[in-house]
Amino acid sequence: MIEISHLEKCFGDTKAVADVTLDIKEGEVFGLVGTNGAGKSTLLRMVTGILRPDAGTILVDERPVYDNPAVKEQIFFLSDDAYFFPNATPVIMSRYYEAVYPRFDTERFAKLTEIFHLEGRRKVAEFSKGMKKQLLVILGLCSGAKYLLCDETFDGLDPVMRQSVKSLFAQDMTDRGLVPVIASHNLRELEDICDHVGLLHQGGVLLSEDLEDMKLGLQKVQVVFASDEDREHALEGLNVILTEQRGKLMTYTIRGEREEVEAHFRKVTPVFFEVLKLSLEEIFISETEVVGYDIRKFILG
Amino acid sequence: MTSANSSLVKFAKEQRAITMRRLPLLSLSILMYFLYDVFGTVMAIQRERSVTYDYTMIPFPVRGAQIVSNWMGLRSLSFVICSVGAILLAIQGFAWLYKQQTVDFYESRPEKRSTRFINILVNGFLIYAIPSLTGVLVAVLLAALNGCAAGWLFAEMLVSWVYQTALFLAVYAMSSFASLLAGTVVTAVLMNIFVFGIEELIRLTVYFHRSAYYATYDSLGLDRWVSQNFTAPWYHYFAGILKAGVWSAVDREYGAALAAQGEAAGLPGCLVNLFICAAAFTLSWFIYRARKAESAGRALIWKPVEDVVKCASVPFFALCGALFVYWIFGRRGKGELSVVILTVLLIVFVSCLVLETVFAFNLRKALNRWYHMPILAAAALLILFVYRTDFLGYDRWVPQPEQVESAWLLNDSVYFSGLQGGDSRDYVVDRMRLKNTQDLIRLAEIGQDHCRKERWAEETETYGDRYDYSQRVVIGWRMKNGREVTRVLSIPGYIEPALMDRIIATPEYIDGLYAGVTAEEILQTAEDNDAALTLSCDTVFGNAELRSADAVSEFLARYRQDMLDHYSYSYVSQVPPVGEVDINAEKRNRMSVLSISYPLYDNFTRTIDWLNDNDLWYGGFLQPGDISVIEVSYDTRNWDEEDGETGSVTTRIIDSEQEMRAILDNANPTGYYSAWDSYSIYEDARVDAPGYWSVEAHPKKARITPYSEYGEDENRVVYYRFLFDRVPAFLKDMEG
Repeated sequence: MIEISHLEKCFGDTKAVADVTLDIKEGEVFGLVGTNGAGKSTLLRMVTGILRPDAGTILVDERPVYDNPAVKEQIFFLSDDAYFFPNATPVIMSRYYEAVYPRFDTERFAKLTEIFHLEGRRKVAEFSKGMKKQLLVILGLCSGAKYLLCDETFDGLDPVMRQSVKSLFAQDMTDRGLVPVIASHNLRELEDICDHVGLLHQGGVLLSEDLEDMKLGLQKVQVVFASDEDREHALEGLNVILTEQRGKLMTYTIRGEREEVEAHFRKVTPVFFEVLKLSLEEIFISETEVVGYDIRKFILG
Repeated sequence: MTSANSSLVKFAKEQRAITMRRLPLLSLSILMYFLYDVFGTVMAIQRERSVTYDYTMIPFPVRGAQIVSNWMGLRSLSFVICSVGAILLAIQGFAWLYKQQTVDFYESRPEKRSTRFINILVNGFLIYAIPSLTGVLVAVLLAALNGCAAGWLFAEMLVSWVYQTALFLAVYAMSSFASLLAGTVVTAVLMNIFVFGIEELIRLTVYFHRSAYYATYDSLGLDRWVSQNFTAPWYHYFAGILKAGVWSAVDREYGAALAAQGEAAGLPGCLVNLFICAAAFTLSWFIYRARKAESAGRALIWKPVEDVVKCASVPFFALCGALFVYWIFGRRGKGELSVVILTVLLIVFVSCLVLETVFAFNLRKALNRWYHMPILAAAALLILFVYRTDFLGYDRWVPQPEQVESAWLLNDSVYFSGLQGGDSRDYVVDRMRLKNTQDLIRLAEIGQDHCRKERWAEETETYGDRYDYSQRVVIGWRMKNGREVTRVLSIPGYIEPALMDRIIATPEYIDGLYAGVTAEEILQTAEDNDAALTLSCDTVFGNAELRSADAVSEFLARYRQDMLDHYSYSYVSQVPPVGEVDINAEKRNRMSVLSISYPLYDNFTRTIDWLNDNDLWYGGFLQPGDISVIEVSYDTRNWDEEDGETGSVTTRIIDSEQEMRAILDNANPTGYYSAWDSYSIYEDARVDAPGYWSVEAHPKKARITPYSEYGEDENRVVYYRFLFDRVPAFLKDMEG
């Protein structure tokens, strides 16, 4: 588990990370969402031990990470702007990582590069951006590190590759307890892979929750009431977060369990009633608007 | 496998991994050392082998060994390769810190930062050491295969490699220190220039300001003080080489052998470089530890470093500019001061703009910390004010009598060389211990005052009725607190002779000069160098020489006694030498290893008698009977751009014995050098004279003895100079 407590980091006069407290548990995929400059990369670079925090602590499996090789063996950082040696080939890079990470799986590396059609003897400099990202993911998976910190890794991957990478993550999570931490500025990228999402904004954590918990605690219903009295009666006692109206069709986002919400609407006889599935976007819009932010402005563009 | 073996294997693997990423530098290192050590040695040996005639008559194997010693020994130029290599390796070794991409890559690896730091440094050293040592060993092998084997040569080559390795380590460590303070490759290069050059910039600026503005500054010490760049490893490297006595030694074999035998003289420089290396690496380690990953891409990693660079360099840039103006205008130039001030302000302004732009990589930030400009300009102007006005009283300073331990006085026209590899200044500084402090202080007051007046006269071109040809001497005060202070004195022609006599007509002064050089020292120098000693005497009547070690001892004993008895300022400032005795030590290849000239005065009777007894003396001053004619000329020729050449030369041949007597009574011969000869006593010192006199006496050939081994000197001429205001009346009409 990665325990981040009251973490702070400043670059000159700019506070990049402000009092961040997060727990990244084992057995889940942690998504880190935020706009450009929200502090995602800085946070990941501190967790990796590249940057030294100005304040706060980071414990990886209860041990500090900075300048601690034993802990760093458990972490692999997939940088957004990855570095490969000049004139290096995938094979050369794998040899380097093999010397650095004691549990590096060379056989698996050869297998995966073949599956992903990455030629082992071709210069990495000649690879496309997407191919470099694939190579980096493969190197990360083969390193044997428990924590894979991915900074905008899915950017530049086509949908098929994205799906393949997700499958590999899932396989490694099952096989060896891999904990992927995925930072992205795009909520939609994380929707189908993350179990837990932390939202960073201006260096701070707006929220950090399990997606299932968020989904279970929020309901979106579409309803056409027969009369205003029915509407008032049905909504009485419900915690309505958002309301939209299109003619007579009302759409409500309500905090509460599904059964509880349905019971309220069964008290009246609506002309139309349906419980809709909430997207991650909608969950975030709802949750962040409650705390006074319009997430559409800074996540959804 | 033991843990030690396992660590070694791990270390080797890490080194291999780092080396794989530094292949271009490794290749360059191998190529350079191959070209210099291997190819260069082969070429040198082949060239020497192909020489069919050598005037030294030394056989090829020995010459071959000497040429290899020249190329690969302590005079090797490969220190340039090792210096440039050290800087390149340091900058490249830490270049990964200059980009976030590479910082992320390396800092995220499971490796201790200290291990990474040490691995990089060790790798750089190995990239230098393995090719260079291999080159030396191959060169040794090549020399041996070509029959140029000599134990001293191989030892010298290895000693040279050790010295160069110490130099490499010091440069490498300092360059690492500079590179770690930078955040980009460009600023790393600039920081290297700053770190290696700032002390020299300050020294040169101070030196040239002292020379320019202080009349009594001892600029004879230029090479000593300016080159004492303690923060530059090259200074200690060359100090080591020089102390080993081989860099400029005439006898490379002997010098090389000394160094190769572990002569401790060269080691201090080597040890100082190792100390610099240790200090710079320690500092580098602390900087590396404290340096933040986010420094990548910044010009310098900390703001205070920027301030240090700015404060240390900008005022000195400005002062250099001011100095150029001074050199162009001179102090007497109208408006020079205002141009100097404007130059200072302009250079401070421009330097600050440039530095701030570099620090921020942004031209728009050029005016950042604009408030530094007035502060740095004020600092530069303050320093300039201190020098120009001699605010600290440098030229007026004389010691308190009770502070002085002893003093030395060097007349810079006295020159002899060869003893202990040093020159006459080294000898005087080492030997002369004058104790009559009160007289010396009085002399210093007069000499410094006259120096200032001379400087003023030069700058304002205001002279009296005659140029006062003063004697430039350096006085060195050995203070009781251990300091040594030097000042240049200008001894005017009007100096009180009694004061001078109390100083120079003393055993302390005489024994601190050439007269104090003992026969044992001369014989030892000759023996050490396997050189032949020659004692020769030269007068206007001819030259004779004697090759005898015993003669040297006998001569020196008499000469010293004559000096003690007869040498005085009162005499030698008025009467020129009558001849000169030279002691030389020459090796078989005619290289001179020692040369001392002893002026002879006509009152040195003991010496002259001894010379006479040994058939070395042919006579003293010319008498009218010795001369066939005297040719007197008065030259009023002048040349300027507007009128071209004007004036003429009037010549008169004097053959009357009476007129010749009148000339000889009113003129001094000029053939032999005398340290305290006062030029002010001559007619040439007249300021308003339209021309100058030339007096040439042609001795009768019958009296001239063979001058040298090259044959009879038939055309020998003795030049004379008229004493002030004593041109004989019968010649006055020549002035026109």
